[in-house]
Amino acid sequence: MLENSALSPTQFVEGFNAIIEYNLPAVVIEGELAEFKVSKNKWLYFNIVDEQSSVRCFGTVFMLKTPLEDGMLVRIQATPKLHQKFNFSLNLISIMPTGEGALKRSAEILKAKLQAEGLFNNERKRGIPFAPARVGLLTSENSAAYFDFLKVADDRWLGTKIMFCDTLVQGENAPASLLSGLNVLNQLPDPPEIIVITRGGGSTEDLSAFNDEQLVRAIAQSRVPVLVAVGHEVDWTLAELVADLRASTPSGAANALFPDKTSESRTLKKISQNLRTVLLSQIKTTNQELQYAKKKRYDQTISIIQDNQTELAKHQQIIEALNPLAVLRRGYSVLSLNSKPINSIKGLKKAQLINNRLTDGTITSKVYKLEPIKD
Amino acid sequence: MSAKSQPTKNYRQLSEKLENMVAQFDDPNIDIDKSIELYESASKVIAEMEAYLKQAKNKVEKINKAKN
Repeated sequence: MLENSALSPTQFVEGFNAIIEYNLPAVVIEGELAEFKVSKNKWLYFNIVDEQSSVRCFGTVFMLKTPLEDGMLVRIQATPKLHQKFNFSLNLISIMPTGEGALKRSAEILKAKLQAEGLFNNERKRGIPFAPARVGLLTSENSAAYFDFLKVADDRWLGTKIMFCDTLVQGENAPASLLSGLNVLNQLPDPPEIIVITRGGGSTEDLSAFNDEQLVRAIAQSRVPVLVAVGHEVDWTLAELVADLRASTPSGAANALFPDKTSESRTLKKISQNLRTVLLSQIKTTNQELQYAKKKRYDQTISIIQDNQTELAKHQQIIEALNPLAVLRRGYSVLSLNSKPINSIKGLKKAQLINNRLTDGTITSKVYKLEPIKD
Repeated sequence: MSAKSQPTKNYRQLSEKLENMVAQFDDPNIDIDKSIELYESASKVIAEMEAYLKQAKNKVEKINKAKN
């Protein structure tokens, strides 16, 4: 009888939970978020509701992958439980916004928060190295994005080591997978010079991993610059906003990253030609300068010689003026006795023979008379 | 993707070296002997870069992620 089979409240709770655990070990529910609250930065409390029902939910903040607010459509995975004191609730395993509206709204809230922190500021963005020798690549192996990126890389450039980590790029586990790949590449002893995270286009839900807060913060903190290329143009994901560089497609990422080898080859030829032209011009100029210097030196030398010749001519004139023979040519003669010049009548005697040197010969004369000059 | 022999200096290092030489070459006070020396050195670097553009291939290396 019912009266004889009464349970205590504790027994009821235990029995109830045992039945629930057996029949509904975990449930997945989609509904609208209501009365969402975070307590002591640790605990989550909210109701998941539809037009007719409201179920209490309980979890921890570590389950929050993205901001949530009342009115959002969410999808939860939880275990139902009747608490001894706190009534019935769903204990969260995971919670994510669902539906384009909720996902976009969640991303907007997170964007505003990260923007306020300065994570998207242009000053934070690092340059992309020219012709990187080592490039990290995070994408799904055998995806179109993987092949597109590598094809364009091979078409454009050579000699690069592409360090590839196979990662999930959509779904619930994608953020953790990308995060893990990013950490592995950053922690390599010889890390890449840049990390490319890329996937093709998709719906808001497909791309939701790229709005995951943990992933976005990890990209911001990455030691290695990051290029994010998610195949679409409208509504950039938060990962693209925080990245050092963004491209719209995997091919676009390879185009942005690698120089074009044909163009480089042309540039090298041009540089070589320019250097040759400059060198020839310098040789010509140097030659001209040398010729000019030589002529100047020659002219200076000639000038010195001419000056010396003029000086020499002057000296010659002086010497010529002092030359005794020049005196003789003017009609004078030199008297001598026994080869000694006579410059006085003293010592001379009458009838003495003296020599008279003229310009063209000598006359021998006899002294006829000696007469001193009276003052 | 298979790897062919990789040059010892990477392209960017060679490019920076060449840029440095070209900057010196543009100095109006450079003497002719230094110019000739620079031209010869720059020509060698250009030859290395051209060889790189003809020989080296990209190489994909798969990195295993650590387990969480």
